[in-house]
Amino acid sequence: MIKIGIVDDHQLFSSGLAAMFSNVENIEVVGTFDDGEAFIEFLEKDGELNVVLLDITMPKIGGLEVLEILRKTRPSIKAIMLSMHNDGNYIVQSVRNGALGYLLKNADQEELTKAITAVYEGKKYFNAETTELLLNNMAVEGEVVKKLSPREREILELIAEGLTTKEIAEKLFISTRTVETHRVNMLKKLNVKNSAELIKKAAELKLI
Amino acid sequence: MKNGVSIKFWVVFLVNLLFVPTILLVSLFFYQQFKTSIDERVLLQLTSIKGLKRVQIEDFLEREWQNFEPNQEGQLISEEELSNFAKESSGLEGIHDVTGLESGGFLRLAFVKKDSEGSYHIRYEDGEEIKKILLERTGMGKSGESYLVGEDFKLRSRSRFFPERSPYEFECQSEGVLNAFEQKEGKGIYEDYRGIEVYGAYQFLNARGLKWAILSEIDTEEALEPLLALKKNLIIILVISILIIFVLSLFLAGALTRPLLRMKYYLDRMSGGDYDFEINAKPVGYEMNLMYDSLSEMVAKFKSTISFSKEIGEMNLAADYKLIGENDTLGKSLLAMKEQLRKINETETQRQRELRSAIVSGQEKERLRLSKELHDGLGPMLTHLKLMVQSQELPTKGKDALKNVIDDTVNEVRRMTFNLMPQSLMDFGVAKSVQNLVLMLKPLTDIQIEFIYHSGEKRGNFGDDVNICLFRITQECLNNGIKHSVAENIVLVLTEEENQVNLYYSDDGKGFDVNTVSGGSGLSNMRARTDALGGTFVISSAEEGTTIDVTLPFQK
Repeated sequence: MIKIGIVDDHQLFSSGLAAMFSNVENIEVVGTFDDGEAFIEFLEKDGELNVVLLDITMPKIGGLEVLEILRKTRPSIKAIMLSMHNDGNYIVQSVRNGALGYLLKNADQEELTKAITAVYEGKKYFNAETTELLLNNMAVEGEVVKKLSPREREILELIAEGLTTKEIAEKLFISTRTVETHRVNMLKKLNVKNSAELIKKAAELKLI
Repeated sequence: MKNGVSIKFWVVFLVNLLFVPTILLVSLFFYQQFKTSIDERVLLQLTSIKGLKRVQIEDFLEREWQNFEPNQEGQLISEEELSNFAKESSGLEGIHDVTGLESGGFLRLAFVKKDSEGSYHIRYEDGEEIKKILLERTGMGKSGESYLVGEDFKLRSRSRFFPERSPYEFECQSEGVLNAFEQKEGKGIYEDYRGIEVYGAYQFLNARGLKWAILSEIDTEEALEPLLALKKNLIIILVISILIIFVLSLFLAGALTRPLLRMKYYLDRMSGGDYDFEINAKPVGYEMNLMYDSLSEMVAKFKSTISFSKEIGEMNLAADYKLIGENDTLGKSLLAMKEQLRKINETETQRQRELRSAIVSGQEKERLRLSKELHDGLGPMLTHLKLMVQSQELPTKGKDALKNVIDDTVNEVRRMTFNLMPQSLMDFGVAKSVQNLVLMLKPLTDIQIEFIYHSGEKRGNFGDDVNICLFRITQECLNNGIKHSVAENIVLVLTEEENQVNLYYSDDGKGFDVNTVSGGSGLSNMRARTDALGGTFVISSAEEGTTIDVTLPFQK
C-alpha cells in the first residue's frame, strides 16, 4: 500500500483526485491539504506517508518551498509536482529542489498511478513533454558558449583585419547599415562595449 | 518724411550757399584784377607808343627846321601875307600849320624863317614823313591808331578808319584832345572823334610854334578782347563749378542720408518684427560705422533672444541663453519663463509618467487577476472535469475524445495564462520567462530566434514592474517580428548592466517606416511602458531590418 498526500489549494481538484485514487489498488490517500503550511503541520505531527503530490502555486507556502523543507526534514518522502505550469523553469527548479517527478494537472489516472508507483520505488518520473521542457531549459541554463552566425563571423574577421565598415560593406556587397547591425549584434551578444573588446573577447572564446 | 526739411536738402543747400557765392566773389575779383591790369598795360603801351611818336615827330620837325636854309631855298613871303596864317601870339618865324581847305584838307606845314636881310622865307612841307611815323602801327592791334589834332580840333593826320577822307573833315574834341591842349600829358578811357570808346594816351606837341595834340588810341573793344574771352571762360568755369558742386553736394548728401535711410529700413523691419536679415552696409564715416556696428550687434543680440524664445516656443527647454546686459528684461523674462516651463514640463512629464505608470500597472493588475482567475478558477475546474470523465463508465473512444478536448482546453488556458501574466515572471524573473517565451514560440515559426542573456547579480529578476515591462516589450517585439518582419533571424539580448538592464532586439527583416507605421499602438505602448519606468527606448528600422534598444534602470 502506497500512502499518498495531496497538497493543493483547489479543494475541488484534490477531492476529485482523492475520489479517483479510492478506486485504485495499492494507493491510499492519507490526506488532502489546502496549502503547504497545512501539510508541514501534518508532518510535524508525525504524519506518515510515502509520496506527496505537490501543487506549485499555493498561498502561504508554495510547492517549491515545501520541497526544500522535505529535503531537510523528511527526505524519505518522495515528491511529485502536480502543476498547471508547463513552464520548463518550474520543472528545472522542482528537480533542483528534490522532486522526483513532474506532472501537469491534466495528466490522466494511468499516468498518475504510474508516476506514483515509479517514485515510490525510488525512480524518477517525467513524461515525454516534461522531459523536453526540462532539457530545453537545462540547455539554456548551461548555454554559456556564445555563437556567432557565419555572416557575423565573416564580418568580425574583416573588422579584425582593420577594415572600415564601408570597406566591409563593399567587400561583402551589403549595405553599411547591415554591417553596423551585425556589429552591434555581436557587441550585444558578447556583452562588450566596442570593436576592440569584441575582437579580444571573440579571440578568447575562440570564435575567430 | 513727415515733418521738417530733409538732411539731403540741407546739405545741398548749405554746400551751395557756401561755395557758389565764394566762387562768384573770387571770379568777380579775378575779373576786376584782370581788367585793371589790362587797363594799365594798354594805357602804358599806348603812352609809350605816343611818346615815341611824339619824339620822332619833334625830331623830324626839328631836323627839317635846321635843314631849312632861308637863303638858299624857299620863297620870299611878305609879312602881310605871313600874318594871314601866323597866329597872333607867336612870332612870324617858325613852323606854321597851314592845313586848310586850300590844301584839300591834307596836312600842310609852312616853315618860315627870317634871313639876314630881314626877309621872310617860306617853305611848304606836306608831312609825308609824319604820316609815315604815325602809320607805323607796331603794337597797335587792329583798331589802334596814332593821330594829330590841330588847335582848331581838326585832325591833321589821316584817319585809319576813313583813309579815303581827308583828316580835316574830322573834328575831335575828345577828352584826350582837350586835356592835351591844356598842356596835360595823360591817358584815359574816353570817346574818340568817331564816338567810340577807346583807350587813349595824349600829349601836347609843340615844335617851333606848331601846336598839336598827339594821341595814340585803341578801341576798348579790341583791348578788352582777352577780358571778354576770360569772362566767357570764367562763366563757363563758374557754371561747371556750380554744377560740380551741386552734384557733389548731392552725392555727399546721398552718402550721408543713404545709410540713415537704410538704417530706417532696418529699423522698420525690426519694428515690424522681422529680424531675419544681415546688415552688410559699409557706410562712409566713422560715426556711421559705429552706428551700424551697434545696429548689427543689436540685431545679433535680438536674434539670439528671438532664437531663444523660439526654442522656448518649441518647448526646447535645453536651450541656453546668455543675458545681453544687466537691463535685459526680455532675456530675464524669457529665462524665467523657460524655468517655469521647465518646471511645468517636469511636473507634467512626471504626472504623465505616473499616469502612464498607473495605467500600465492597472492593466497589469487586471491581467494578473485574469491570469489567476484562469489558473485558479478555470484550471482546476477543467482538471476536475477530466478526472470526472476518467472515472465515468464510458466507451473508450468517446472517453479519449473527451479527454483530448479537455487537454486542449487546459493547454489553451495555460497559453492564455502565460500570455496574460506568466507566473514564472514573479517566481524566476524576466530572463527565464523570456527564455520560456522563446521556447514556446520557436515551434510556431521558421524564423531563427536567438536569445542571449548576460546575467549579473540580479540573475534576471529586476522587480515586478521592470520584469513585466521587459517581458511585455519582448512579447510585442517577437509578435511583430514573427508576424511582419519576414526576417530569417531574430536576435534578442538581455544584458544586466551596473544599474540598469538593457534589452536589445534585432531582426534582418524588411523593416518599416517608424513614423508612419499604422496601428502603432504597439510601438507607442512599448515607449509608454519604458517611459513610465524612466527608461529609454530607441527604435530604428530600414530595409536591412529593425533594431530596438530598451534600457531600464533597476527598480528602486
